[in-house]
Amino acid sequence: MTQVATLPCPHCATPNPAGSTFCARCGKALLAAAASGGPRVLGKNDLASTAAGQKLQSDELHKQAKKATGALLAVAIIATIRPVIVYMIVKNSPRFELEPTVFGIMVALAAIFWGLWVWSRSQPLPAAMVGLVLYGTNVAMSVYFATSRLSQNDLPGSNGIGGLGISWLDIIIIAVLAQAIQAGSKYRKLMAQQSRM
Amino acid sequence: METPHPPYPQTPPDAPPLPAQPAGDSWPLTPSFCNTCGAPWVPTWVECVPCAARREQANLAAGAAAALRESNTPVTSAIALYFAILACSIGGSIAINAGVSPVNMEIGFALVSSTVVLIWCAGSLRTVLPALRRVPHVGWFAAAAGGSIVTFAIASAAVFGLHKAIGIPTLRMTDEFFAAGYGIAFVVLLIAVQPGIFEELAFRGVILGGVRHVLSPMEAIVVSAAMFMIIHLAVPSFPHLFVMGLALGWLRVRTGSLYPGMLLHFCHNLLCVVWELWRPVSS
Repeated sequence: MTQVATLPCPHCATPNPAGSTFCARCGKALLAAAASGGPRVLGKNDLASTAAGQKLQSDELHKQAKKATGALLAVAIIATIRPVIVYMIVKNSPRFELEPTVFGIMVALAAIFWGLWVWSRSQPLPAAMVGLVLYGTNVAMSVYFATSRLSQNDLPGSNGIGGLGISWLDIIIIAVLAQAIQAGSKYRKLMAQQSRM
Repeated sequence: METPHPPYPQTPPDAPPLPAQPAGDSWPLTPSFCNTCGAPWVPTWVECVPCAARREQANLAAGAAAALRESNTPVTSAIALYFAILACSIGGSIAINAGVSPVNMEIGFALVSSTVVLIWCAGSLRTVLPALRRVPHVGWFAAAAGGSIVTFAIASAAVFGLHKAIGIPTLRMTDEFFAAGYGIAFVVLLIAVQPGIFEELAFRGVILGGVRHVLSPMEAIVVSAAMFMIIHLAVPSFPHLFVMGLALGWLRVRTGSLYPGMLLHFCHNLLCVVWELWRPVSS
């Protein structure tokens, strides 16, 4: 009979195969509980090890994705206020003229942002993508017009940070939308996997 | 922590159960508890069922963890391509301000933006190549050509309607090219062929394929159509551009190929050129 390494049980003295954690006869733990090295810290791309942890993780991702709703609401409100202010300025000051086409474009953009806000309440990820593209384009064009000094009507507040034509709010909105897209994408991938579990 | 394989008959579940009479008598014939997890051992087991279940869960969790680690490159790349093309447009406007003629700016824009699109395609080959490899049934090409008449009708109605309703000017594209000495073939190449190929590669190839990693087909069609609409930087044209984008996206998803969309786009733009040459110059 070959010699095999054994682990005697401290409670019932039954020999157990080496590497066992519990005794095969009495079921008690063979060794003192090994130190686990402290709580596990999750990295950015680690999956939590328990079902409860995974639920927390996906809830957190979902919350970040839903921030897109707030950002799009802010954008829609700003986009609505702008034509209102323009209208009031034009009405009260003979210096400024209003082209109907320009006004129509402002109103149309505001309507699109409201539509994106509504969409984001049920599906934040695609709405955030379109919102980022549309608002990013808006910001890019503002920067272009401000730096090329093409704007005929020098409306107050149109020069933004350092004359670049954007404000800190614009930067915050873009950052929130970009983050929401990242979180929303991870959330969807996780949901797709978990539906198989 | 790796537990060494215990010497009990640890056979796979679908193997016939071995007789529980191992040679040697160092330990019990069948265990009363599992060595690994301590669960009470049911005599009919050939392996510890809770351990097997835990192993199964761990495998699925590994799959989920892999999904989480998957980088978001396709989506980021899609949005980055959009802004790269936007940068080309803004560059074109800067060129005009600097005194470049509109014709030369259009040619330059076509060259630069095509290069940008090709670079992105090279980086997203896995997304784009399958759509370029598949050539669907010829019926789809006929449908695309027919569809271009519909999209052209919608676009013309929209442009004409806005012109009549709030006086948005209708723009002519071809006059400057002829004045600069270019012929009809070049105009068709620049206005119909180049956008037909490269806008499809960009918006239905890289962008739709990229967002398709995290969006449903319908959502991907809508998002790529929205981006296609916005890049043209003409809010009055948004409605018909969006409709056209939806049609092109649907073709891409339905056929799995970029070619019917390219044909539709080419025919649509060609109809625009033909229409413009055919009707007299409006005052």
